[in-house]
Amino acid sequence: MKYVICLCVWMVTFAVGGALFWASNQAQTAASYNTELATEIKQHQEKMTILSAEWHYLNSPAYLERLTLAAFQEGTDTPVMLAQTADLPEPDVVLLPVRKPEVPESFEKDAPVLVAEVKKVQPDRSKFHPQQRAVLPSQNTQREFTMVLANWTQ
Amino acid sequence: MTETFETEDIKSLSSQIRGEKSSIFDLARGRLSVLATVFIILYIVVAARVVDLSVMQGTLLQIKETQTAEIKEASVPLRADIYDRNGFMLATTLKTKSLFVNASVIQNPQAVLKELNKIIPGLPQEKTLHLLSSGRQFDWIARDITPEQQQAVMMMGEPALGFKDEVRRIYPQGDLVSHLLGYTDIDEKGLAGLERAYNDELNEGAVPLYTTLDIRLQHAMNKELAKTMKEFKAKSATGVIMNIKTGELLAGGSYPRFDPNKASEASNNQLFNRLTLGVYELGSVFKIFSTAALLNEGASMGQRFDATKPLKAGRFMIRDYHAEKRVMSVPEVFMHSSNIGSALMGQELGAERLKEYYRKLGLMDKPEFDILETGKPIIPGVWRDVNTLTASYGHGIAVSPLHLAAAVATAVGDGTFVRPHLVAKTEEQNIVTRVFSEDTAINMRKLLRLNALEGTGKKALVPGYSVGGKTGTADKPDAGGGYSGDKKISSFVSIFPSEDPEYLVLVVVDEPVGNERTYGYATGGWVAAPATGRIVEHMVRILGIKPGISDDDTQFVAPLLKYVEEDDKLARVN
Repeated sequence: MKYVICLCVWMVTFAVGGALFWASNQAQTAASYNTELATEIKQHQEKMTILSAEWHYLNSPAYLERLTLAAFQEGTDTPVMLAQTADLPEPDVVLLPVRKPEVPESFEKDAPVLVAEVKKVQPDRSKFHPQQRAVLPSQNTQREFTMVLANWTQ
Repeated sequence: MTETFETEDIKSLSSQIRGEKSSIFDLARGRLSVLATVFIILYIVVAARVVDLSVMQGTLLQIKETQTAEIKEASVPLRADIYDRNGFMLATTLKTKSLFVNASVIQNPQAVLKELNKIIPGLPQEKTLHLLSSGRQFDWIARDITPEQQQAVMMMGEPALGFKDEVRRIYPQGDLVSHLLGYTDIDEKGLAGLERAYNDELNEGAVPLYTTLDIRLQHAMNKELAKTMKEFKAKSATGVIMNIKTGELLAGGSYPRFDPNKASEASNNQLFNRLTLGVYELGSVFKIFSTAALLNEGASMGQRFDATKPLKAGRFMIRDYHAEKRVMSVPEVFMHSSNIGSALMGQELGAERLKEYYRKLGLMDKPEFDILETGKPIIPGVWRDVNTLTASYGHGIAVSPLHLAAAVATAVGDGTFVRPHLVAKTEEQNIVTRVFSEDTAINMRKLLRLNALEGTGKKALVPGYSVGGKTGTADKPDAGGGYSGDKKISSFVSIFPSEDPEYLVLVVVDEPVGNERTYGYATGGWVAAPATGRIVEHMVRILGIKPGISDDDTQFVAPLLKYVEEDDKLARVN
């Protein structure tokens, strides 16, 4: 009995010792991995700083201008500010469905539905600068979209 | 009986002795067992620890040691980056490697030099050989070498060569904005510009510094300054683009300039910041302030000034450059840039009131600005009557182009003082100081627009945009006293859109020489006005500002044109 108790005590001691050793080892491995990651992050950050500095150099106006001049022997045409993108007329788009949708039987035939109505309008040309007017096509139109109630049966 | 007794006694005694002996042995054996067990456990623990340290943790510890050193090094923050308003990098700090030699252990300096020459071109031969042969334990061979060069040197396997980590300040935009940005020394201490003014904040490394600059506009401005300087063979050219409503500097600098990456190679002439540190007598652009002061004191646009003949002031004669030789209203004085008319305005205001306005406009003191290199205006030690007259048209008082830009922005903005700045302001710094009334500011916008349409600033006009402006042509003071007849400072200040100005462009050209295209003229209208016009053209494209008016749109200045017509009628009658 005495020997059994003794053996058990020893086994428990070794087991606890082993477990502690394992836990310590795991903790150190994790800590080391953590440090390794921190170092790696730092190295990546340094690389990013270098790449960022390089990107900013390669995108500097002076460098881009040198590239442009090298690529286009005769240089580029000087652009003229005519209008902003928002001022350009809308392209032709079709908002209405190309075919009549299938109306369910339960749908009341004369019930109005909401559809888009497209109107072509002439823009107020007086709002444009003379230089803009010169390049605008004479038949230039803008599209106005309004939502109206219509009836499919019509 | 005796025998029996003896035998029994002996048996009993023997068993007694045996029993005692046995218990002593048992005790000793037990103790030995415990001791042995303890020792065995201790040995196991020690052995396990040895295996743990040498085998299991050996590699880990080695890595940890290196990593801890790296992390410790990394915990020292690098100097913070500087950016423009759109997030373009103006300055950053990179880690670099530098090569050193321990010449006490070098075997064959000649052979090492031969190898190094292949890897690092441009090494000074004699000096490097001297360092390799010196026998000293430490000498720099090359600073800031590339990773490829480092790898190649390591492949040489020379134990006398080693590397040290260093940091280096890099300016990816080169010389684009050098005067305002400044530069650092090799120890990363700011020596000029923002680098110097914000040295402590940048060294903390926590937050990058965002400036109000826009490198696209800066590049456009630089291009035009360089072009103007070359065309007119000028000594220098200075420019600034400013947001009138906020006081933000969008671009600024002067030529000649320098590359902050190689600041040690720059000459003093290149390093000199003419925008904020240089002070000049800027001439007629000062008429903006004397006119604004007069209007602010209640004078009407219709008030007339006799500019039929030169004005005598003590031993000086004040003459007009574009002499109209007639009586002129305020708009005409302004658009013909009459020195006589402006001097009379100054006379009417009086010395004290004119000085007070100049003081409120910041023209009498060193400006508060985000960099420390700012110039103190040169004003007469004793302010005499003649100084009031000459200061009204920009002579006898010298200020920096930055002073001028801030004062013009004040006169045409909403009448409150515009404090120029390079770094975003906090709310507490927004102290409003009113200099002119709003009506005066609106009148000044009209006068500047009128001058661009009908006066001396026609070459600054940009089709489709309501540009206003004022020329300035000042004779440079001679070293021996008096003024030089042929050396001039030509300037032009533009504002747009004139109706509600948002941007100010100022160009100052030092000692331009007239050419065939300008019929020999080197005045502000011929030299600086076209440059500001071209800068505005670049700006509207870059900022996407739509053209808004026709070229002959005089609606805004119509109220002033009636005074000009009346002046014409009067001149014809006389």
